[in-house]
Amino acid sequence: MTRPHILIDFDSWRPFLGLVLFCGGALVFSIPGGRVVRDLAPASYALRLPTFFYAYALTMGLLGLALGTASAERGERGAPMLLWLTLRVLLGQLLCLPYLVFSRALFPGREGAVVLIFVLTTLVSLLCATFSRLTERPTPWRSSTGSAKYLLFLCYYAIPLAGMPLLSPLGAVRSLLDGVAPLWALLAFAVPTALLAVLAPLAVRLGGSRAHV
Amino acid sequence: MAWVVSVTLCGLALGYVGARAAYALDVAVGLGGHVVPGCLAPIRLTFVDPPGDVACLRVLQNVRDAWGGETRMSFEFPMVLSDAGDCEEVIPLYDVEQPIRVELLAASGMVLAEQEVGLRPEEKDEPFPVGVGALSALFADRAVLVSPAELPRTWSAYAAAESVWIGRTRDGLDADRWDALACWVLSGGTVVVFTGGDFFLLDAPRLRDLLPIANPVLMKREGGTRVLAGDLRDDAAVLLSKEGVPWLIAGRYGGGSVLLVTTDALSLDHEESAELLRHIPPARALSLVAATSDLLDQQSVDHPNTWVATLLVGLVVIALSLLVARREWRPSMGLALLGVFGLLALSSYLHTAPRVVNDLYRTETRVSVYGSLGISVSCSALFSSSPRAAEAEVRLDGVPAEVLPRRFGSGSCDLSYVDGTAQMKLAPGGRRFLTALGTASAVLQARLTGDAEVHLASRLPRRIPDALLLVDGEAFPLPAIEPRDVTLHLGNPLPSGTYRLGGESGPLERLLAAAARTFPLDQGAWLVAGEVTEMRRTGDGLRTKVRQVSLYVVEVGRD
Repeated sequence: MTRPHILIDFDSWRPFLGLVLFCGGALVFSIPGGRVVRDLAPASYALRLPTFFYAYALTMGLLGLALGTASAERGERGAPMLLWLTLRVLLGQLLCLPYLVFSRALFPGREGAVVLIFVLTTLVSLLCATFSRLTERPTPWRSSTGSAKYLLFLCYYAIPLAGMPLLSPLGAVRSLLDGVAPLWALLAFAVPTALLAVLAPLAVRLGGSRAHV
Repeated sequence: MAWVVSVTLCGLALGYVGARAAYALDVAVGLGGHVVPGCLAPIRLTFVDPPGDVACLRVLQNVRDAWGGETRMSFEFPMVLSDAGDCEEVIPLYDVEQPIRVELLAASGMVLAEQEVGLRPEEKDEPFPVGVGALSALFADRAVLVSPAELPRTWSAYAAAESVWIGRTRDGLDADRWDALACWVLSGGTVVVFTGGDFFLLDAPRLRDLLPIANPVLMKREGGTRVLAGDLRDDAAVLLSKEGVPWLIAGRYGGGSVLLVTTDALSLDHEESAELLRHIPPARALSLVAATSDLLDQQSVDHPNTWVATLLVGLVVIALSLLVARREWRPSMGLALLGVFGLLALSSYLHTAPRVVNDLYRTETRVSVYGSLGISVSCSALFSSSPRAAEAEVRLDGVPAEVLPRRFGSGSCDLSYVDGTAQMKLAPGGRRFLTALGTASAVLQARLTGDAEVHLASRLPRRIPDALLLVDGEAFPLPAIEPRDVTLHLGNPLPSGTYRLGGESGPLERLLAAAARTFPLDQGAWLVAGEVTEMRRTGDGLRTKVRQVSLYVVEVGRD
């Protein structure tokens, strides 16, 4: 059964709430404490790790997974499914917009990197949503593929950190904030873009198939 | 073919060696060849032939800590030859175990000549007395003896001297050396001048400025000894007399002391020499490191308010809840959604715009001391709150001396100084303290013109907001000093013992307290004035918050 398309409702707001609370908490935690320089030494620089951006990249990915699951539960399919997933991901970004503007004060002079991270997390979230939608059966009950999905998600975020950090959204966030060379930055975008280019048509085709209804 | 290549290579090698040999140089480091680790020291280059195409001098120094950490310091100066044909600069020396490397560079940066200089045999643990010219045996045994030509022409080069004793010299000292000594005394140094029959060998306008007597004349004591006599200045004191004739007179010049021995250097017997030695105060160099460190610690930190961030999270959650609570979805809600979150984003921007986190915090303190000459002592303290290694650049009044930590990671204290600018790296959470000594024109002067009036002449480029006049320990508050000549009437003094400059317990008071350890502000008349400025600088991807605290200490003349 297919329910009407909707951006957000009472049944699907928890992932957004998680995003808002987790990112908000990370933002508050990222603010260096202390009134004078003496209070900053010696651990202040540790607090200036991009904690907020790590949390943002992680929760945007998790939001994507949850949106894919919710989309399957709603029985959404075809190109409209992809359009609504995109709109929901953008809603998540809109919810985080005040945080992103706020975080500019914590990483001055890196506004360009913040914009790039915004684009990257949108891509990653959409990729996760599409992947999640593909792995979920369009039924209202819980999917058995859930654990494997989250395991793969963790692998995508964690394993590249050991050797090729740019391939992980977390490593890419760090590299973009550190001012990575443009070619390397392109590599950070290439992975989610390429995967999305493969998965999105699959999702449109498979999600649109009546066999899944 | 191989023959041609070999000859060409040999020719190039010989040419290279020849080019280097053409700049054979003699390098002398320290006061009379002696250095104190951690202190500034003079370095003098004497050339066999005057160098034509040498553009600058570079001194390289490796410093090791006890745990094997090594750091490299480089000091580069434009090549300026003195009238005597030598080149004199001042550098800090840290590790006497390591030789320093002296290089002469062409404008292209090519090394034309180089020499390694070992320091270990000339090391001293503490500042030491320096004797100039001929002195009696007791002095000669205790001091490092130098000829007048070996005396530095830059006052900061005397940092390793405890006191300078000027004995019998054939031709006296030239004006540059007298000025350097006067500046050093102004900053807290001690000079002992033996005069008597040798006075006219030494006589110079700057010496007369320094002496604690005016109108000096030579007199003969019983027994035929010639002594220098004159009119005692206001702040002078006769410390020792013989047969009713003063033979040791102490005077003050800025923060330092001038001891006038009215007889010549070789006429004192052993007891007199021993008595004199007991009266020589060591130099009290003005150090701003502790005060600057305190002020850096107290520098306010910029960051957004945590409670505002928490409120923002709350508002976003409320907005999300209101959005979810709507049962029906209409297009107008999309606009409302954009509006609400746009407003929240704008609020975030407005709150954070003046509270952007800084990568570096820098406190710069400077005490400018003006008498008949002017000097400046400055200290730049930096703290990095950047999560990455930060490159900092600091403009200085002179070559920087640094308080190095006992233990440093390799390369963590590297420093490159090129003609007034120091470049260095700071590790995350790292601190650096650079002190510099310089000369300055006496652009602020004051004169008491009556019991209750003071005339100020300021050639400073701007107004100095806070000022005090100290007369024999009493503090009179003054209005802001404008950059012009003005005569001010003194009001009521502040309560006894209070020197309030700027805000209470503020940075100016802290700097004034540091200056008061060197300058006897409770004796004589002094003008102290100061200003504090704060600014934020952005460059090379770093945001730096800078606080500058400037204090002017002026010895006030009396009509």
